[in-house]
Amino acid sequence: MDAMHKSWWSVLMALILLALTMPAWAAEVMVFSHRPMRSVESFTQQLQQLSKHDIAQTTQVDALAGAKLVVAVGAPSVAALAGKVSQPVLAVYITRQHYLQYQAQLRSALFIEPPLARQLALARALLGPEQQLGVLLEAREQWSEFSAQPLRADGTVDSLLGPLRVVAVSDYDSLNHALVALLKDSHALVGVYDPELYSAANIKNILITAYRQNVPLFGPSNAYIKAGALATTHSDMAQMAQRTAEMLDLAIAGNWPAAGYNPYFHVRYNEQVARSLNMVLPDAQALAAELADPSP
Amino acid sequence: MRTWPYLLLATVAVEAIATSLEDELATESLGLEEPFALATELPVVLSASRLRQARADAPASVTVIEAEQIAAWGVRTIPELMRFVPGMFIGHGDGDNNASVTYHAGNPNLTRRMQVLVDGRSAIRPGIAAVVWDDLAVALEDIQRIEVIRGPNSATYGTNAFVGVINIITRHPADSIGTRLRYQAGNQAIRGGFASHAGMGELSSYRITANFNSDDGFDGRATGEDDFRDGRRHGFVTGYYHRQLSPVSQLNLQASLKRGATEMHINDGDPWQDPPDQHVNQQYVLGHLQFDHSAEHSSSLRAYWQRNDRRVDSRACVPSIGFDPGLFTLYQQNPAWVETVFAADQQLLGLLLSGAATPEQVEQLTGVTVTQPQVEQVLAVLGRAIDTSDPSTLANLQEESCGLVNWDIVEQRYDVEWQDTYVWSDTLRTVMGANLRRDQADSDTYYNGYAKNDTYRLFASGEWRFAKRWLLNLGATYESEDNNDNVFSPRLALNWQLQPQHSLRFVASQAVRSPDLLEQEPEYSLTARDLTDNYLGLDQGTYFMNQTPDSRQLDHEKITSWELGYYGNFSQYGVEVDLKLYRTFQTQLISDPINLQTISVRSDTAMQVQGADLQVNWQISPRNQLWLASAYVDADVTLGDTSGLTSKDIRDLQRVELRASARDSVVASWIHTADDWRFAVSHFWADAYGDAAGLSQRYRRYEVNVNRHWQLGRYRPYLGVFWHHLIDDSALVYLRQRYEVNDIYFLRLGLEF
Repeated sequence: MDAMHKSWWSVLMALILLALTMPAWAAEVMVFSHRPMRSVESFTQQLQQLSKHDIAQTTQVDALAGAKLVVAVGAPSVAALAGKVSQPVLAVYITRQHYLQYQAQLRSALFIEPPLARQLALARALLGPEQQLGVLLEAREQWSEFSAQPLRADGTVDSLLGPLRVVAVSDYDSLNHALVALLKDSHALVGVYDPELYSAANIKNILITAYRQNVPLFGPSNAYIKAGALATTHSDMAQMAQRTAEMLDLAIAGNWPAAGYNPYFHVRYNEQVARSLNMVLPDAQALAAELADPSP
Repeated sequence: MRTWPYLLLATVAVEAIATSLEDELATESLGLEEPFALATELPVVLSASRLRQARADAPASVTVIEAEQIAAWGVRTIPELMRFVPGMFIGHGDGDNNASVTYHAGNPNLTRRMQVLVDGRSAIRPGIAAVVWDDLAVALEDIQRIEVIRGPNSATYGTNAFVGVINIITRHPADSIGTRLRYQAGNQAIRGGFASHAGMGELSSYRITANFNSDDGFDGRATGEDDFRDGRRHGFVTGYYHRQLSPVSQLNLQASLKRGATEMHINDGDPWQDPPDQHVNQQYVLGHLQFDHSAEHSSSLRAYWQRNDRRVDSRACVPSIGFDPGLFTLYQQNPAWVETVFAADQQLLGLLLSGAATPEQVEQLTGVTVTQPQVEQVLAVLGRAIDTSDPSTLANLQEESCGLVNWDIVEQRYDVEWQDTYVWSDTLRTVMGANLRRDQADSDTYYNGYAKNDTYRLFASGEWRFAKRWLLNLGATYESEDNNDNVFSPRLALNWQLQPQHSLRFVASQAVRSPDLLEQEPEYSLTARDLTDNYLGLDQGTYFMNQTPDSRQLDHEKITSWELGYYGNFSQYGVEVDLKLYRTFQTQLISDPINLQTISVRSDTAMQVQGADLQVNWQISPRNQLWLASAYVDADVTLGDTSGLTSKDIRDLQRVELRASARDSVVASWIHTADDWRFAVSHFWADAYGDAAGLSQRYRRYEVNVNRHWQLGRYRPYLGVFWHHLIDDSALVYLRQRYEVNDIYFLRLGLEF
């Protein structure tokens, strides 16, 4: 009885071990996260459904050995892989800033944030093309991270589809001083993906200051919608999986895509804020389609 | 009750913020370090209880003037801004040298049927109900927005929110950070200066503003020199301090010191030897605590104290007999009899001095009913003046003596208010609170000392989106006062959303205005000091004319208003339209002038006002905006008991409520904003002031304001010119309210950094 019990256990353990380790050497593409997360599992499942490639998920660096290609989810996962894998790594759910930081160890990346140009286009679509928009930066030098268009000394930028003024906090005594200067002439504040500037501590200040002057904030990402931003473009998990699958196809075919933003996105609104600003918002789906394909 | 300002906290949108499961997973469960982890920590900043109410949901007709428009129009005073509001008429009090703002129809002498709030602090004087615009102690540059609620709103703002509310909200110090300087000078002795500095630290921000304004008022006639003494010089310093006490609570402190002088002219026949100019010293302190308990629940506590010390004195010369104490008490019993004696009719004097006058004879001769003791009291007065054995003493009846009189008054208000806003669900929100107020005044002349009135108020309102497109707003205030009856003021508003940002509203409301301390319980008399030699041998005497009823038992002025409105925002064309059709019934109005001469003050005038207000804002292009405000006012006055009044009195009463209104009025303004300059051109047309009262003073004027600024690094100097041209020569409301020139202009220089 005892022996039988023991052997039953060993079979089970062997099966479990097999189950746990088998995909590690079997899968062509390994999705890696630095610790177990339900959402990464869910992302992997969506990826598996969309991709014809053999995809598995792990949190163990050792388990990546047999894979042809590694998809690292999030910046901490990328950091956890540093110097430990030889395969090409595609980073997803990573900010452009982090990508630049880890660029040496990454083959390509899919950014988590929406591109500034698209956020500007969104603001213009909602407010009218000729309204002056404002962009707040920590420092002027940052501008090149967000746009290739040169920033003039007076804070204006040419040909971003309409008037734009960029103000850097470092040019003023304080964030509020810079905000006041910017809000004086701007009809909307378009957020850049800078988690330090748009930190939890600052966002309250920025949102309330802008709102007191009836100026809406766009973005910088979906998370800010709940806080009180008016609208943003946002790629959900299905869209992230869709683009990741596309990138994997290209990569496995030997045609690695460049790191970039997700071309698949939704438009998200904060209806309450829009209502309070007496704004009528167009259909979000139609607007997303229009922004994705700006040709008339 | 500022924090339920009318464009109130928005209703919770029907559509919840769309956050799909994927977002939740991506942003919350990934548990990564920033940006994910950071993102999940973002607070809900613009929560339902913080958002202003959408225009389409407002349970009232509202006109909002933003800082941008104030700067573009470039006017110098708040009443001048009110010209841009449909149905608002600007008059000028003749007796107080103070602008008056009237919505649709009302007394042009003082603004007392409208609540005026500056950050929740009422600008209505505690003792003598009126808004003295020069005493507001707010610089136009410091104003963030003015919400004008056109229509009664006692349900939210308490008594005195009778025909409307002007809710002035100043800028948060953090929004005016830096230094701003401005000087202006023009004709009509227009001078003005403004200096303000705001700064902030980690958790706090502050602003200090100093401001002065002066001009020499109307010229009194259309040609020649300015011979009308009605200049004004007022200056103040205000401080504003804001501190975040904790993540969920903040403190706002405001304080101000103000001094000013308002010149007064002397009318023909006035006994004043010196112009009774008003010298004002004013202070206030306001504290406001705001608690954001959660996204659904917030409350606030506001307390303020204000003190206004108004000094007015003059030397007055009147017949000495007027100071005889016998006449003072007799006047209380039979004012007509004293007035008749005082007129010193020879025949009457003869009869009285004959020593055998009977009440019947007096009545036969003068038409005034008197009693035997009243005749005897007059005989005693005359006996003090005249020695029948010495005919030369008859001259005592003509003797004048002069002394110093004053209308000094110190008014104070203590006001504490608690307000609680709760968002129960996506469809229901309530605001409720309580308010305690003490109005007190100290004046020997007006109240024979100290007078006060305590008011206790409870208010509640609820907003219920009972169906997807329907919003019901119910509100009421209950007030209990020392000096007046308790009142209940309800309001019902129903908004039907035709489309997003298009709504029809139906509003029914009742409001009251409480008679003030002087209207209800005056002890009004004039005491002259340092009297010149007089036969009475008095060094100090009280003039016989006085008003000392125990209480006049005046009723509240009452208004019932029915309103049908439409608000529409045609965003594709940049057009916003608000149309209001209304009918109001005002009863128990107090139309009599409140002064020493007016013995009988009644609350029995009735007025029916109906018409339409239209406001259109058209953003033609990002650089061009058109503001159009027009009103049609049909007002009709029914006087109450007119017994004992002369036909002139009756005509004046009939006119007084109507003379500041025009049946048709239009204001159109075009604002053009370029990169570094801006102009506003406005045209005002009122056809014509007082037309319903048989007067016809057409008022048309153009107004242009041009402003050019330069951005030199962080410095922003600017230069502006304001010019207004009066097309018609007619006086504003009263005959001498006119200028000798048709053009008034000033130059403005400023620097911001």
